[in-house]
Amino acid sequence: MEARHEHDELTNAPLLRSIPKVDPFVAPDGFFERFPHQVQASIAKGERRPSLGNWLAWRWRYAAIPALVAALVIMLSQDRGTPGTAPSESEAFAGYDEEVLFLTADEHELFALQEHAPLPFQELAADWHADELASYLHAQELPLDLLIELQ
Amino acid sequence: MTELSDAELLALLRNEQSKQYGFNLLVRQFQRPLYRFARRMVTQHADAEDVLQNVFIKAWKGLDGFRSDARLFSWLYRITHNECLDHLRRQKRGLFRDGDGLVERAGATLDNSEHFSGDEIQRRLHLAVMRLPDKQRAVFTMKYFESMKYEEMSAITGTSVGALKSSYHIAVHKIEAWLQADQTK
Repeated sequence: MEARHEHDELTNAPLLRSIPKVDPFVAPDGFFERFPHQVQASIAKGERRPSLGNWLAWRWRYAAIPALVAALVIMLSQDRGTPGTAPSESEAFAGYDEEVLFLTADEHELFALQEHAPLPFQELAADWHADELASYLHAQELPLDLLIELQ
Repeated sequence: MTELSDAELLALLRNEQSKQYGFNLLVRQFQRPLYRFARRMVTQHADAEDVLQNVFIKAWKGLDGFRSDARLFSWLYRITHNECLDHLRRQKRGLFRDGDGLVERAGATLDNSEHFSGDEIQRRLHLAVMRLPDKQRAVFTMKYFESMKYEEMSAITGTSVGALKSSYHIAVHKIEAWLQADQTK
């Protein structure tokens, strides 16, 4: 029944029907022999590396230092400003390492950052998803296996 | 290579002593059809290789959560389908490449690729397929090239059989129209 339905679909597509169904895509010589080993090597390598949780914990320790410094800078700049006028969020984030922000800011802070961040960062952050965060981290040349875990 | 049944593969995969060996057999058994699908979706060999690598890494990590009542092939195909869509989405964000369109890029790839053996009509067919939206291209590829049943496609894509039939029907019409237009140029 389904085969008939498919045939019916192609009745009105004579050009498509006339094209032989072949697979024109070729893999390099020996690819399918090498590939299973390649995958297992990647898995073994990934398992030797720290997990994302451990990695983030490690990053947090180092991220905490600039976060504290940044908080201090923000507090000082607020003190120096005109009384009653708080700095904009873009000013607050200015000069702050983007990677650290991603590792230290919570979701709401990230969205605030997206709205006020300078271009082209703002362009990239129109509607962040996990894969985009992963892409961003990739652009920062962080290890590929961490990207896979992030996804 | 003798193919193992799902039950045989799962027996190997669920035993710590034979897990690695079983996984090697699983990759060997399913890599070709998954690669074929990935190539149709992303065109370039290097991209398909990246996709497939991620697929099997995710499969390894997700083995414990695999339900025995599902088919291994459908499960792996679903991961490949999702991974291809993610890959294409990332490409379109322009983070990894310049501003060329996907179809132009595919055309250039086919022209220069030693990994494409098709003639001119195969080339034109692939470029027409590349013009379909990503999800519809996946539907067309599964149905037209792989002759999959709609029920299996539904399990892979998470889309209803009715919607898949409509999508395929529309895809066939679009491709036929594009091939016709191409012929009259």
